[in-house]
Amino acid sequence: MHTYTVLIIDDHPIIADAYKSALLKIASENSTIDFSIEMVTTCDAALEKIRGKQPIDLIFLDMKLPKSSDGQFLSGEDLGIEIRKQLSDAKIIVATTYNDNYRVNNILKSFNPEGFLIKNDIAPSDLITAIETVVEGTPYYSKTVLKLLRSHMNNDFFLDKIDRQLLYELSIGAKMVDLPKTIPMSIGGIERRKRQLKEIFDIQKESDKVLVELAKDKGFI
Amino acid sequence: MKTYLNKLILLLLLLFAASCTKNNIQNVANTNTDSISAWIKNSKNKKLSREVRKLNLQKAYTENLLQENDSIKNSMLLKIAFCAYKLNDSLFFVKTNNEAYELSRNLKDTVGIADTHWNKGLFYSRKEILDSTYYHYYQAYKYYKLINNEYYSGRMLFNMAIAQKNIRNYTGSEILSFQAISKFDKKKHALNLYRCYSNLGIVYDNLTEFKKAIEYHNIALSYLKKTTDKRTFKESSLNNIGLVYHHSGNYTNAIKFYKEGLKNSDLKKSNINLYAKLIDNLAYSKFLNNDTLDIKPNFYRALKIRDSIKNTSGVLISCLHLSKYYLYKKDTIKAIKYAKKSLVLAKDVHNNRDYLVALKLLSEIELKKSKTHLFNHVSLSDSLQNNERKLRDKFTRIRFETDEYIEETNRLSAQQTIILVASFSLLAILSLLYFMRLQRSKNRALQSEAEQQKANEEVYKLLLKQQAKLEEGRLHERHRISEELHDGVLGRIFGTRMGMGFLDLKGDDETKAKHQLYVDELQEIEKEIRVISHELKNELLSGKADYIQVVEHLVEEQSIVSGFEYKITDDDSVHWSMINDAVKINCYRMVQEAVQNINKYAQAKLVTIHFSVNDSVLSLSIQDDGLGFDITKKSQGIGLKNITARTKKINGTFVISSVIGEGTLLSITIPLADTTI
Repeated sequence: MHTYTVLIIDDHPIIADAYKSALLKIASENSTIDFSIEMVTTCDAALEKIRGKQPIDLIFLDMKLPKSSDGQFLSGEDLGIEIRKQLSDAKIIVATTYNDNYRVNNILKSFNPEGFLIKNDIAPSDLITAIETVVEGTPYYSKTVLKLLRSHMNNDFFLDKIDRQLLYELSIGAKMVDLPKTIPMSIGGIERRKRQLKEIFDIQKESDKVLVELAKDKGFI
Repeated sequence: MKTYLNKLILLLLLLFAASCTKNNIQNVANTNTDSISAWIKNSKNKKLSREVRKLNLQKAYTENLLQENDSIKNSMLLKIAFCAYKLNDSLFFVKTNNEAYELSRNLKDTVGIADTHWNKGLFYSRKEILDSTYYHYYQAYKYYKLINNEYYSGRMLFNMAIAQKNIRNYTGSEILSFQAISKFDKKKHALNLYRCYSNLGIVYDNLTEFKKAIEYHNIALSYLKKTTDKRTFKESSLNNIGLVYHHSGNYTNAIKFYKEGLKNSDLKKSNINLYAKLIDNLAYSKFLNNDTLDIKPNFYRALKIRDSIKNTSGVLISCLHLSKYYLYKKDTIKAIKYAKKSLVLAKDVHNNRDYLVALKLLSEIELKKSKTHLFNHVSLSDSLQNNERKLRDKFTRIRFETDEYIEETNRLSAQQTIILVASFSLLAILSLLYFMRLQRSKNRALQSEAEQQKANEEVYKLLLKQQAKLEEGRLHERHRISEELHDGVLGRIFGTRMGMGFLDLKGDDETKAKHQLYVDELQEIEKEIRVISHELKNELLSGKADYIQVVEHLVEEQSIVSGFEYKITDDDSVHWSMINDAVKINCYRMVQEAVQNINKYAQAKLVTIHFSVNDSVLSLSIQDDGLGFDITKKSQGIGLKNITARTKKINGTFVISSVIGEGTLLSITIPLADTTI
C-alpha cells in the first residue's frame, strides 16, 4: 500500500472535485494505491503548500488562476516553474482549456509537465488513464498535445520566442501599431521580422491572415 | 505668213493707240493746270487792258473750280485771289480769298491760311480799315510763326509796325519794327531790313528823337547799298532825313539833303510824286530859313505836278505851304484862299492832321474868326485823339484777345490733358484695385477651400480614429467574451462533465447509457463553445484592420453601381503601418475619385488597383478596361482635377494614359521620405 500525496490547484471547485473523484476511483479499484488529497484554490495557498517543505508526489495544476497577492505569480505557468524549483520530484498534471499551439508549446518549454491534458480531449476514463500513467512514471499527453509535438518534429525550421509571440499577437488581431507595447522591439524591427516569417512560410503578397493561418497549420500557434 | 504679219501689225497699232490715249489723259490734266497758269499770267500782264486781265482771271478761276481739291488747286486759288487784289476787284478778291481760306483749312494747309490772311491784310490796308488790317496781319504772323517761317512772320511784323505807325502808335510800331528786324537775315533780306530801319527813322522823327531818327535812316541807307532793287528808295530816305532836320529846326541841313535827293536826274521820270515832294519840301525849308529866293515858283511847280497826277494829299500840303508863304508876305486874301482850299482837301481825303493845321492857320490869318477856328481846332483834335486812342486800344485788344485765346486754348488743352491723364490713372488704379480685390477674394476662396479640405481631412481622420476605437472596443469585447467562454464556462462544463463521469450510478443499464450519452453531449457542447470562442478570436483577424481592406471595402461598395470586378493588391514592400495618415487618406480619396469616374464613364468590366513601394516612393495604379477617352481633347473633369490637386499636395505626380476602347490607367507616385513616421 503506497500513499501518494496529491495537491489539486484549481479555482473551480467543481473541477477540483472531478479530479478528486477520479483519484478516489483509482484508489477504490487498486488496493495498493492510496491518495492523500489536498485542494487549494488560490495562488497564495498553492505557494504555501509548495514551499511547505512537505514532499508532494502529484500536483494537478490549473493554468488559469487569479494572480498571487504579491503579484509575482500571474498564472499556473509561473506556479509550474516554482514547483519545479521547490519540489524536484513532484509530478505535474496540467489540464487546460487552451488548445492553441503557442500556449501549449510555451507550457512544454517552461516546466514540461508529466501529464498534459487538453480538457476537451478527454473523457473521465482518459483522466483516470492519465493519472495512472503519470503515477507509474510515464508522461501522458492528450491527443492535441501529441499532434502538436508531431507537427513540430516535421518542421525543419525553428521559430524563436519573439517569432511565436508575434504570430500569436497577429492571430488575436493585435494592430501593428500596438505591437511594440507587447513585443520588446521597434515597429520597424517587427515589420522586418514579419517579412522574414512570411519568407519562412514561403508566402509573399498574401496578407497577415494567410501567415497566421499557415503558422497555425504548422503548429506554431 | 501674211496673216501673221497683219496680226502683228494690228497688235502693234493697238498697243500704240493704247499708249497714246494714256498720254492724252496725262496731257489733258497738264493742260488744265498749264492753261490756268497761263490765264493767271495773262491777268498779270500790265500791257493788257484791265477788263481783259479780269476776264482771264475769271477763266482761270472757273477752270480751277473743276480741279480736284488738292494743294495745287489751293495755290492756284491763292494766286487768283492775289491777282484779284492787284486788279482792285474787291468782290472777286473777297470771294476767291475766302474760298482759298476754306480750302486751306480743309487741307490743313497752314501756309495757305496765312497767305489768305496776308491777302486780306493788304486788302484792308488799301481800304484803310486799320483795325482789320492789323488783325489779318497778326493772324498771318501767327500762322507763319506756327510753321516757323521766320521770313514771312518778319514781314507780317513789319506790316503790323506800319499799321501801328499809321495810327500814330509810334512806340508800338517801334517795338514791332525791332521784332521784325530780328526775323530777317542780314544778307538775304537787306531790302526788308532797309524798310524796317526806314520805318524806325520815321517813328523816331515823330517821337521827336531826331538824333536817333537820323541814325536809323543811315542804317537803312547802309542796307540799301546791299540790295539790287534800289528804285528810288535812296531819294525817299534823303527826303525823310531832310524832314527830320526840318522838324528839328536845322533847315540848312534839311535843304542840303533835299538837294542831294534832287541830284538824281531820273527822279522826275521814275517817281514824280517824290520829285514834287522834294521840290516842295526844299522850298518850304528855304522859306523857313528866310531864303525866299526862287521859292514861290517852286511851290507852284510842285502844286502843278501834284495836281496833274491827282495827288490830293500832295496838293493839300502844297496849298498849306502856299498859305503860309502868303501869310508871311501879308497877302491875306491869297493866304485865306489856300488855307480854305487845304481845309476842303483835308476833309476830302480824311486827313485830319492837315485839317487841323489848316484850321490853325486860318485862325492865325482870319483874326476875326480866329475864335471859332480855334474852337473847331480844339474839339477836332480832342476827337482825333480819342479816335486814335480807341484804335490803339483795339490793336492791343486784337493782340491781347488772340493771346488770351491761345492761352485759353493752351489752358484748356492742358486741362484736357490733365483730365485725360487723371482719368486714365484713375481707371488704372480702379482696375488695379478691382484686380487686387478679385485676387484677394480668389485667394480667400482658395484658402477657405484649402481650409475646408483640411477640415474635411481632419474629420475623416477623426472618423477613422473613431472607427478604429470602436473597432478596438468591439474587438476587446469579443476577446473578453471569448476568454470568458473559454476559461470560465468551458472549465466549469469540463468539471461538471468529469464529476458526472465519476458518479457511481446505481441504476439500470438504460439509465447508465443515458447518463453516458449526456456526458458525451456535454463534451460536444464544450467543443462547440470552444469553436465559438475561437471563431470570436479568429474573426478579430478578418476584421477591417488592414488599410487594403478599407480600400477594398470602398471599391466593393462602388463596384455594385456599375457592376465591375475588381482586384486590389499591395506589394509586400508596402508597410502600411509606416505610412502616415495623410498619404493613406489621400490615396483612399484618389481611389474613390477614380472609381467614381470609372462608374460614370468607363463602363469597365475589371478594375485593378495596385500599391507598391520602390525607393521610398509609393506607387498607386488604377487601371480599368473600359471605354477610355482622348486625354488631349477632353478638359479635365472635377474628379481628375481633384486627383491632381491631391497629388500636388503630397508632392506626388499624377500621370494619366488612356487608349480609346482599351481603357485608362492612372499612375500616381508619392514620395514617402518626408511623410513616413
